[in-house]
Amino acid sequence: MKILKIKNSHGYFLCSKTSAWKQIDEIDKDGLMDLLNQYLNDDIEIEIDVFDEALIKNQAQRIIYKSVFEKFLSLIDNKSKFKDESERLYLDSIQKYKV
Amino acid sequence: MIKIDFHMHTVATPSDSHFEFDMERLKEYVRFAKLDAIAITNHNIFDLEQFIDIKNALDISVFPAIEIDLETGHLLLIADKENVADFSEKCSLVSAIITSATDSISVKTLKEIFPDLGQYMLIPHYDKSPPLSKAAIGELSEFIVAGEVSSPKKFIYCIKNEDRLTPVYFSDSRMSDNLTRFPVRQTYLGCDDTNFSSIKYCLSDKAKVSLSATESNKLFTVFDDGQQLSTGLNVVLGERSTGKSYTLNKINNESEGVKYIKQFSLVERDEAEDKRKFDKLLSDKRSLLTGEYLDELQAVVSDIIEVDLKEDGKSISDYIDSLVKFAKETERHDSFSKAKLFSEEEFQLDDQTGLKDLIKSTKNLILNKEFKSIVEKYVSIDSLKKLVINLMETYAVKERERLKRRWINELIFDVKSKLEARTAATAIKEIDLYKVGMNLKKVEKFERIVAYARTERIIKEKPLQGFSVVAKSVNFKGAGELKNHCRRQIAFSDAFSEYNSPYAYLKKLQEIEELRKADLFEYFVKIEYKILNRDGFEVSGGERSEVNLLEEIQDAQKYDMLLIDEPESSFDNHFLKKEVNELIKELSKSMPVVLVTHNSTVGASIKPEYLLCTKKETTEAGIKYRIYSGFPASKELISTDLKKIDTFEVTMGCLEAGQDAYDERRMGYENLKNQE
Repeated sequence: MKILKIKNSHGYFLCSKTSAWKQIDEIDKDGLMDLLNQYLNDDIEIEIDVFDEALIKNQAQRIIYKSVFEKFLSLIDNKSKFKDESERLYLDSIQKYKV
Repeated sequence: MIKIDFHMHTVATPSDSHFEFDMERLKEYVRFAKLDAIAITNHNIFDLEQFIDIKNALDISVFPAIEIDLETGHLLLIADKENVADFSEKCSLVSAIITSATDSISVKTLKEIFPDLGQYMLIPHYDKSPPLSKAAIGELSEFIVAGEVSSPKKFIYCIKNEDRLTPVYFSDSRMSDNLTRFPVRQTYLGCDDTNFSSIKYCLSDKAKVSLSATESNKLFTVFDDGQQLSTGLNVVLGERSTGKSYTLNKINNESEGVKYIKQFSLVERDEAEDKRKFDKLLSDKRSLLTGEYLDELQAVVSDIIEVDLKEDGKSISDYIDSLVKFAKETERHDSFSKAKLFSEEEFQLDDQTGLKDLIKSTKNLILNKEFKSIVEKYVSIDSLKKLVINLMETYAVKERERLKRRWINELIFDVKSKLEARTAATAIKEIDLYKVGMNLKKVEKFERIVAYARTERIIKEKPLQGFSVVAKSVNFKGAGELKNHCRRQIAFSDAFSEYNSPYAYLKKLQEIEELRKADLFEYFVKIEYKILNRDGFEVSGGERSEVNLLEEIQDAQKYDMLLIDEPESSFDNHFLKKEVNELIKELSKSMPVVLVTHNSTVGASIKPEYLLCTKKETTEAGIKYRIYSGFPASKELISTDLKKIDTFEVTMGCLEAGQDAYDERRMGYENLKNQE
């Protein structure tokens, strides 16, 4: 599922609660946390449009999109590592106490 | 049969507290204990002049010897009387090296000083503190003739176990005028001669050493008047006020390593106090069980303590606010803020834990010997070796990359700080979304783990002397229970309001300054302990005392001797006969047990190895307390001053209140039986 996209010279992010696309310069901490939670959701494979400064006209959007894009690109690159690490997390404890 | 004491001190050295040697006292001791041979064993010194004086003053064999601080233990080295000058010279070399209480010599040095060790008798501290190390004993094994022990229990243990050295039991006393009681720790040897080679030969054979002159190792001397006890089970009988408890107290005072269960000490007098004692007993056991069950939770809690979701939320907020602000204030952008590095993201740094674990696991597969055949059935060791090399190469590449990224991050940070200092534009705050994401996962799993751990279940069931200890995991029911667990005046009500949200609860606990971080895991799950009786019900007050007694007797295994004073005063006959007698009997197979009783259930049915009877006798000279003793099968019991009493009469009198009362009771029982 796509969570960051570039369309009609604007950068957008997906608000999962409303399933609506919002312009990237409207993003706040809840919006970012929402994107992070979608990344953390194992059932969802997230996608993001590659940043291209020529495709975003608004300078503010360009800066914000670039930064958020780079953050998520790094997370996506590390998805398997994150998955491995989080699955291994406290595995012994869970096995010990699970009824 | 000869009696020897090859461990005594006549010179105060840095290893002793100060004392003055008293020749007369030594002579009295030798006469009193009827010793046939002694060795003078001072710490790391041999005083030739004093030795000659002692030898001349005594008409028994006196051997020159020394007690050496050898590595971490002590060693007695005993020489033949013939080579005393040479021995003295060698000992002076030891004295020159060991000049303080903390000095010692190595086995190698010992062998250099005494190259002819075969000429001596070497006796290390064995079951006695400080013991000579196993390694040192191994190195000197061909010269060691026996091992010194500190109690009859340890002596018997060595006798019974083939792989143990021949035991010897010596006084290790300071021969000074302060020696108020003569020691009773000596060893009998089955030979008639007191020359060096005869004694050495005797010590090479366990069958030739014993704790008593006539009864081999069945008896040992407990008091300096010659009173003996069995190395197994002793029963002390006697009417009221004849000195039974006095005798036990005396044994307790004059012997080492004694476990003494006093009369009424276990009976319930104050329910609350008894319950407290009992709970303490349980809590001692509890720590073991709790530790086992909660160790994983402890590790998770200590990790989650470091997680701060509130701080993570603030980081996200700071990042996004600063990013949006920076992006929107384009008019304030200058050459500094326009520089690419000003808004550059730092690289994510991998910690490589996963890869390191994988390398370790692969190495384990390669090195494991026990299951090698199973491993090889599925994958060859060669393939595993190639795999581990590949993984290690990958690790090296990744590590190189990580170091490069770290270096670049430091550079970015440095440049950004300098640019930020010069621009009017808002600086974008850093955030590590990977870490924030991982923290959320951690908390999610932590909450699941706590919920699992709190699920009510029996986590351990352990038999305890016919009862059973049951440990159960349950929820804490309120702030009061948390306070009780903590045993301090701390308010938990605020924290407990979040008990059902483990992360929030942990954060509240962290706010309580008096609590140690390392202990916080204990407040998540309550471990309830109960002792159940045979019917599966929680024990009653009386049963609590029974458990206490059985536990105390069991605990005696750690000691060298057990004394029990009138258990019948606190417990019923059925319990004593079924549980206590059995346990005492079992224990007495490995250590001396002295039981005072006038209860026939305990005294007669337990079948003791040795009987003692205390008597208070009025004579013309005044009141005289005597102990008569002997084997239960002997017709008479004899005191140390050779007075005799009839064994049957004593037993009847003390246990059955006399023959008449016994006959009357027996008749009563028979009548009852006939009525049925």
